[in-house]
Amino acid sequence: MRCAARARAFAAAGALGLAALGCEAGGPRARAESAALRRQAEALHNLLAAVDTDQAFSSRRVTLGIGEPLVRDLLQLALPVEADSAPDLHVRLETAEVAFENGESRVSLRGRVSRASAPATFADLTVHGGLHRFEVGAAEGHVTARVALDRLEVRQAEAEGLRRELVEAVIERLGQPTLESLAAQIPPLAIPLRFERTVELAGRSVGPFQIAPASLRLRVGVAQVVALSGRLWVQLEVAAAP
Amino acid sequence: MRSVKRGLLVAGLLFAGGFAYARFWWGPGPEALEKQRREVRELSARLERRLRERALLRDGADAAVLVGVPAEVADRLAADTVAGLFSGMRVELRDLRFRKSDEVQARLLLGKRSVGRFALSVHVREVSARLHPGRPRLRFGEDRIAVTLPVTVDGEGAARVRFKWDGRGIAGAVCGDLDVAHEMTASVPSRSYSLQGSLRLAVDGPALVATPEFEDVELTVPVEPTAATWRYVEELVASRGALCRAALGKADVESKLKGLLARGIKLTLPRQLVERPLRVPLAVERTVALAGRSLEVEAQPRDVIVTPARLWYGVALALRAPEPPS
Repeated sequence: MRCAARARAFAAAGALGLAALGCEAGGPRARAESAALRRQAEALHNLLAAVDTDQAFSSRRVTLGIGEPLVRDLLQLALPVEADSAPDLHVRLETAEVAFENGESRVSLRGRVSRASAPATFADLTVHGGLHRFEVGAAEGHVTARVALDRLEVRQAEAEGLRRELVEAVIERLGQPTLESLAAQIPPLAIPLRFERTVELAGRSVGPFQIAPASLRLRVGVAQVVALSGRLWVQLEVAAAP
Repeated sequence: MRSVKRGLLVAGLLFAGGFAYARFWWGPGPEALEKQRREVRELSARLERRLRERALLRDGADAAVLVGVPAEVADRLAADTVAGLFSGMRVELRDLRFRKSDEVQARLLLGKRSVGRFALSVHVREVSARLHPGRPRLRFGEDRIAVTLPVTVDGEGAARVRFKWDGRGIAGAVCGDLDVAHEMTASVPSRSYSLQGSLRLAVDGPALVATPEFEDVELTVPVEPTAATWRYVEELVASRGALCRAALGKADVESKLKGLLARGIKLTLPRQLVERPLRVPLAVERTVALAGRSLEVEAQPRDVIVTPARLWYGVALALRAPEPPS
């Protein structure tokens, strides 16, 4: 009898130890943040090494520093975006926030998820992602980027008081396809800067001197993008086309 | 006893499982997260410090867009621009006349006497010279970009040479008068010049404009007759009698002609030819359209800063809804 009690006591101690460890740890959100921080640290280490070897912020590249407010305002122009996620969930994203720090461009889109059949039942939602696929458009010469969404967060505090199963359903059912569908509705973000691919010089005669009309073709491409100090630093390769 | 062992085993397994779950699956605790955040902040600050030390980063609080052009890129693009846009410079000269006449004296039996008078005239019908700009050298600093542009001039031309000889005394009797003309081709021997100036930078509306400013450059375009012309002169002299040759030898037609043409044609390279505003091929759009909506972009230029390593300029942008049509 005493042995059984001891065994129970040991088992209880083990369970308590487990509970203590569990309490100290941070859950899925902490895990995601930790993974993001690991990614950022690695990116920053790489950038520091790249700056020292003239691979980042290189003296051979033109730098564009694009501020957060401009990108936020442009992104806001593309909103709202909406998506229906079966069964019975409707997502509408309305406001945008961006942050360009620590080597990462972060995009947060806020909105609501509601029952399609009962729009009054809703929870506030934030979808997180970033900017990617930077390029200089071949036709227009604009610097463009796409928004990728990879994580959603139901803001529990504001969802409290609502039916618990809604929050659970949102977390369970709004998966990657919904995020991709929302991101696909956001058109490429075009920074209102245009690269002229051809520079032209008109001919001119001054006295006996003449200069013939000529043109110079340029090649422009995005070499690297670094998010730092509240700006996206876009490194461009610019060279005369052969 | 067996129950105790079983209890210990269960406790151990629970603890190990819990530890593994907490460590590898459940995620880090607040302290571990804070440590990671601190590491990222420190790395970010270190990177920013390093970039600022090397002037690779700039603040521009109210500039929505900053553009940084490294000196190395500007140098390369300037060379490409000059080669691509300024390689077709020419100077065309027509109807230029050079003339030289003089009395030719020779020591004769009765002392030094005039043996004749010559008049050499060259009518340059046309000279076509090309100006070849070399690789420009740019020096960044002190809010300006200094430019040195080497230019080489060469070309060819056509002229008519006329030589008149009015013989006097014995030379006149044996040589008579001469009036010969010869069409000649000529080359413009290559000469190099160095244009010194700077690039004036200004943000003009949505674009940065670089205007080259150069000092006046005096060019001399010399004309050099071809070998055929010299042969003609030699044959002209050789076809005369000995006394006549001696008199013409005194006139030294060849060196007179050389001297006359070597003076060259003096020209001033007009500034307007190269002082052409060049828009840096990166400009702010006047409108931006996204998802079927269109906004006007108002661009306000900010300072242009030139450091020895980089040229920076900024543009403040404001997005506005377009005015409704009245």
